[in-house]
Amino acid sequence: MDNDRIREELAARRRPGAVLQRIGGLKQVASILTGGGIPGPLCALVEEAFAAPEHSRGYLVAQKRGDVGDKLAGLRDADWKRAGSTLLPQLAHSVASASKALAMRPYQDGLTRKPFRCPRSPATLADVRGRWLLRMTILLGDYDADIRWVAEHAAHLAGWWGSTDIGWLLAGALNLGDDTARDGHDILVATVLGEHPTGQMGRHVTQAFMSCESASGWEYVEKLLLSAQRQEGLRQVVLERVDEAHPMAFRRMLRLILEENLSRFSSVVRAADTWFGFQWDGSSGVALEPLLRRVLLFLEDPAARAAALQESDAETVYLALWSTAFDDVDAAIEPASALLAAPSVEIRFVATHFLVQSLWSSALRRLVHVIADPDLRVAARALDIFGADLEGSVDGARLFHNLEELIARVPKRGATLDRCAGMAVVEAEAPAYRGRVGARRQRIGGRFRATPPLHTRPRSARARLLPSTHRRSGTEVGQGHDHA
Amino acid sequence: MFIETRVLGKKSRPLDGWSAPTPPADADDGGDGLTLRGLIERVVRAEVRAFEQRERTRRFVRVLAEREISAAAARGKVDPGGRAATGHVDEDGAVGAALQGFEDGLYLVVLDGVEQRDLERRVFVTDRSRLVFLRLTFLAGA
Repeated sequence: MDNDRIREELAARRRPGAVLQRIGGLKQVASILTGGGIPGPLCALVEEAFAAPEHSRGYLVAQKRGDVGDKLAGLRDADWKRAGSTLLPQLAHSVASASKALAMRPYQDGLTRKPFRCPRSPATLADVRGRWLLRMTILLGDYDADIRWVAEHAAHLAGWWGSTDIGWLLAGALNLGDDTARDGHDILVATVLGEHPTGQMGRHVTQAFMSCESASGWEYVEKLLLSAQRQEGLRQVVLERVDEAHPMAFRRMLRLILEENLSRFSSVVRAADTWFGFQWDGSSGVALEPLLRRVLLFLEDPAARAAALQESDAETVYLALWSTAFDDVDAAIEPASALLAAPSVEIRFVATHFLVQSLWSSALRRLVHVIADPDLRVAARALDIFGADLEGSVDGARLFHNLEELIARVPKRGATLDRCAGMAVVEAEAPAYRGRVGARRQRIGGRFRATPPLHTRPRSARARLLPSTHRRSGTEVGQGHDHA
Repeated sequence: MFIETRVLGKKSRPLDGWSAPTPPADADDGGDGLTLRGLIERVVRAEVRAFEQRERTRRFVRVLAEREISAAAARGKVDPGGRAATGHVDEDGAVGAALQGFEDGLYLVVLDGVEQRDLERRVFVTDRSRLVFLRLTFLAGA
């Protein structure tokens, strides 16, 4: 079917204003009065999203990271179910199922996300669920369509930002295990094979199969990966979603890569690089297999993981921390924090590197002290997280004091930092900025705020502290809150 | 058998074509030819041996006569040999890489104008056969 006809079909199914009618209708008002309906905070978020211009609604939801979690943390399972039934009534079963599956979704997103999970943080889980439900409502709420129709038209509905989220919805549908699930599976398979008249291959397919609980879905993607041959793009599409896959699907994928020697493909190396956050130099050969074997061991054997934290090899220690956070970031923060006092610079560096990547609120507090680390590389890595204003999340006075001391330690004309722990990430992420560690003082609201401008040079052979004015946005940090 | 290499979309060849002895039929072939896998393996092993032979030759320090130096200079390069050894080439590893590359679809094999797709299929090579290795490119689009 050509795209014009599909657009017409989409337009015919669309009832603009349907979502607002549902949440503002008499039935909803009556439900609120009797204690039912959509919870007030969620209702307000939906109204705010739909009040924005259509093209900026997705962006608006993205900007509400953390805020959504704070507002919806008190919602019970029944509240979520009711919200799904009201916002997306024809997809209610799949939405409820996907909402459960989202407990397995890593709490970070974006290009630099790491597959860390936070099963003990209701606020972060509410944030993940809430933003997903908002995005689904924006994308699908006004369509008069069931889950089969969504599966058939997902590529056309997703736009440039919705394919992953629709993939999670379809994963929820697959988890139902009923006729809907079987139909959804068949539609997605036909889409991959190019045999469906409407369906188009996209990330929603791989996300759905990899995030569902069904081993047959995982197996299908594995076969897809093995049959990719010269299609590096397909391999990339599959692998770049694997970190968001069901945790068991990720473990299976690591085994498959090892068994089939898939690390010979550059897309596999690149994907592993993003999963683990090494930022390898693309020109250098990477021995991926020993690394994957260690990760697989640590993911499957908690005792081996705990023992690895005592190792002298920094990379092994880092992988043990990473593997711990893969299932529960809270369980990894304390061990990583303890390693910040290790006599080995490499161990302190990888612990800092891990804490920075965790983007976890309790890690932020520890990183304030790391800025005072005697080794500049460790201090510079810790400083990466403080490009945004985090005064509200940490001891601002201590942060400012440590920044000033760091400024005094950096040579006036800047300093070139060597590699640390064999990680290219030092070169990639060591902040290079002016004013030495460049804390700029700004009088805002009667208080001092330290805003070190950052400048990164990925893939450079060495990092140098240099003038720059780049700043990170606040959304890149503090993506999750600990349960405390 | 004449062997040549091509790259899809390029007129120039990555290597000059060369002739190779037609593989003798193995006793256990029963005259049924050899498999494509066997053919690739023989070509690769022959090339590894040829490479090692060239490498040995280049390691040998040559004393050049004045006439040889002039002639080499006219061609653009005076090579007195004495190159450092590059180390042993893993012949089995090279064969494995070649077969893996075929299974990954990194190149096509065309024998006497017919594309060969199955490593286990019998192929029949004569002195006048033409074997083409056609290198393909990765498809990066998603």
